[in-house]
Amino acid sequence: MLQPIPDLAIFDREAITEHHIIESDLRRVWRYVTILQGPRSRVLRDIAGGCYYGTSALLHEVIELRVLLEREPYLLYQSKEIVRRCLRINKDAHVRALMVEYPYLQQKVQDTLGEKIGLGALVLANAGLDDLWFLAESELPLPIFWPSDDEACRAMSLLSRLRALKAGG
Amino acid sequence: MRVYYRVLLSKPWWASEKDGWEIGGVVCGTSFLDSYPIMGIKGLEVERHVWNYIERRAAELEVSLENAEEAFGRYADRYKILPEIHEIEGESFGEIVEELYERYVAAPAKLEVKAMRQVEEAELEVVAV
Repeated sequence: MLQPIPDLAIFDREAITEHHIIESDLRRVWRYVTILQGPRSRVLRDIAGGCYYGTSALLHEVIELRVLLEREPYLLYQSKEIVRRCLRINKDAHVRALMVEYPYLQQKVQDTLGEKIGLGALVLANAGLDDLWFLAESELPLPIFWPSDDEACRAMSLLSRLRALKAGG
Repeated sequence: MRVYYRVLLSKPWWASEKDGWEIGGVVCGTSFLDSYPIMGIKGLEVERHVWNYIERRAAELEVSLENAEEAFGRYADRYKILPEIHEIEGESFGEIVEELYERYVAAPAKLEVKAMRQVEEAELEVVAV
């Protein structure tokens, strides 16, 4: 089933306000992810879930896309091949998005589930090893530590719980 | 530091039968990391849940670089790795990751973008004439 564009109201209002996200950002993100990964992309489903997890996924794509559009203003009118190449050669856009997404996720895990978890564990549980390396090697001052197996498993469990929270719930 | 790697080929899920495989990045042996035997350095358009599944499966099956393809599981129709094992040296693993990203992910994309722009410019010239 194709994923309809959700309403901004299903996301964390505080984060939406802080990052000045408006309806057009959401529409652009929808178009961008659809070009990149197709209309049945898991990212679209994550965003459409709303609440904190959906907000974290939305934040990532909004930040990444804003950087890319600064450099390629007509990106969203290009073919999927060009969009993919643009992302490959502008990896810093992805890293900047990670730097917003993961501290947000960490804070929400603490606020809503009352658990502290390291950024490294969250990245490993939610993305992959290379994202963890890109973040660890970036110049911005984020405390990234290599997680233990136990911490990585705990992060997976916490993310599942956060994902299960629904907007307004 | 020395790291061994194999070239990763990928095919997006939307590719048709006639579309060929393209270089998607590399798979590095990371036996020096506890619990994580391989690491993919790949294009960022790869869906992260897919690669997350592959890296976790690699850890569960305890694969090595030599048999890393066994971790691909249900995504084996979209990813494969060439048999040759290459090596690269660097001051740190981070430096090596950056170098491999530049060499196998970013550089081919830059060349393709350049070629595409040349084609576009040539087409514009034809229109202008």
